[in-house]
Amino acid sequence: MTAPGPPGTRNGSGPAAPAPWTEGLELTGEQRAAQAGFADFAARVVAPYADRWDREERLPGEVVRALADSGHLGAVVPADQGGSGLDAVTFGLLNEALGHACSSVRSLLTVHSMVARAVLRWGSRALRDRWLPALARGTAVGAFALTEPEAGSDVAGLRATAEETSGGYRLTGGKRWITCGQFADVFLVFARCPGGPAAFLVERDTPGCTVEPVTGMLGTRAAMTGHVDLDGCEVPAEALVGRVGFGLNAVAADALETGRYSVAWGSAGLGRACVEAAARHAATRRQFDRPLAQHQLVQRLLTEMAVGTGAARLMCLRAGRLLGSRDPQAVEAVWAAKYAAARSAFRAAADAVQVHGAHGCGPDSPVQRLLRDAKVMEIIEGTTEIQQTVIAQSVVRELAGPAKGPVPSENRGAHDDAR
Amino acid sequence: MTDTSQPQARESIREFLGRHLSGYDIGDDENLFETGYVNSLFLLQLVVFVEETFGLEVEDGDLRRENFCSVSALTGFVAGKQAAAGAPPQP
Ligand SMILES: Cc1cc2nc3c(=O)[nH]c(=O)nc-3n(C[C@H](O)[C@H](O)[C@H](O)COP(=O)(O)OP(=O)(O)OC[C@H]3O[C@@H](n4cnc5c(N)ncnc54)[C@H](O)[C@@H]3O)c2cc1C
Repeated sequence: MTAPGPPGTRNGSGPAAPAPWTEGLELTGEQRAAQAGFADFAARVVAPYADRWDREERLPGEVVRALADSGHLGAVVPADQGGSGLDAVTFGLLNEALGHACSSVRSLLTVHSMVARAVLRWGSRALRDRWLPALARGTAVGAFALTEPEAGSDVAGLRATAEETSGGYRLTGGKRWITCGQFADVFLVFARCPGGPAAFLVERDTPGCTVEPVTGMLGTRAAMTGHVDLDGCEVPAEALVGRVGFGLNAVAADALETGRYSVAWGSAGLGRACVEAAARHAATRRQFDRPLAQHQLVQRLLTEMAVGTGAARLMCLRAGRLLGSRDPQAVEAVWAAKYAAARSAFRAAADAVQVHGAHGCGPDSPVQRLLRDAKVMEIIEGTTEIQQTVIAQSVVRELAGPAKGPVPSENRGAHDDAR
Repeated sequence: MTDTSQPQARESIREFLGRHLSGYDIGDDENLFETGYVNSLFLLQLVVFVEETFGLEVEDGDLRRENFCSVSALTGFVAGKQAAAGAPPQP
């Protein structure tokens, strides 16, 4: 690839003009300015290379550095702690811009932000002093290591263990499908202690920690996924994040909320990329003596895509505003936004391929990447089905009133707090 | 910010829990997490509620079951944090 220019430089194209998409959202002047900056960054540094990275199944170091240099990797860390301290809506807009350009890059932002958030929120002072500046500057990249061979949606099945030693903990277990696992400097690892689940920050070069690259993924192929194995990794006592017993319901739940919010906006961005590609193709490709866009069944596809994506985006915005005002209802709003955005992104991507016909299936078409990436959005940070069980439960609680009995064990267990 | 005197604190905690326990009428000393009525998103909401309602910060060292497990525990936790932060003394 051509190395992306450093942030703040231009490779010809200026900041994207505010699209009609930005209207009616009641963003502040600062949020709009930030949005234009994100669109510019994504258009210069990410979008032109996304298909190539997808084919090569890797993200070059330059893009990670460009994200770091622009302050994007410190987005969730407050300015007084070395980050860029974006408000929740602005952080959402960043995810949207990156999700529009490349879901693998957005995934990097997601998992790194989850780790930064966990350290910020639940790290001890010593841990924050040690890691927060590097995570905020992006000189250390974080990855989130929860999933195991036997523990996917149901993280109550967590088998990794952490034994207390004289100076800290000894971790043993296997973590699977870890986004950015191939290059992250530090992993937020969840393991079981005698006192309950706990979270630890484990440096990549800790003896006993090995990473096996996973290639040939369906989607987010450039996110450099890895399987991480811990074989008696010794970590100091300060590596504990939060307290033993609160690894899942506080540390993971908090990080996953950040992750879910990031994926929600990223999916909205992906959906928008689908609408744009389909609209352009439908306007130019002619069949039966007219552009595809003049065939009513194609119009229906375009309508569904545009309206679905627009609606999902409003749900993301609502979630962002509730998060920004620290409303306890934000938790449910984020679940709903991620559910709506991931589903509508997948439908939009499938429809975008449909509108493109064979052109959408060919090796050079971005929409085939968008379709593969969109499927992943329905699996990460809570599968569509897990979200359906959790959302239904809160809908019933809210709308059907009191006492219908205890929460079923599958909803009460850790699986929904984990994804 | 809510009135921080203890009876009011207890009342607003009960009110918040009432909304999250599917109408289950919890006793002041009953263990919340053993009722089977809360899902695992609940602690996150509880922490945000406590921080925003009582203007305090739940820190990593506060993550102890005994701080969150019941209405009485939460009320005591809030009073303790407020006292430590130099808030007006509890009645
Ligand atoms: C690209 C990618 C990146 C990932 N990155 C990370 C990462 O960085 N860190 C990490 O820890 N993990 C990561 N994961 C793992 C991801 O979090 C899990 O895949 C996800 O939690 C689902 O678990 P599972 O794949 O084991 O599926 P399973 O839990 O085995 O589920 C399989 C199917 O059964 C359904 N199902 C399961 N339980 C129920 C139920 N109770 N009711 C109804 N349906 C149910 C699911 O919805 C799904 O359709 C990643 C996965 C992918 C694909």
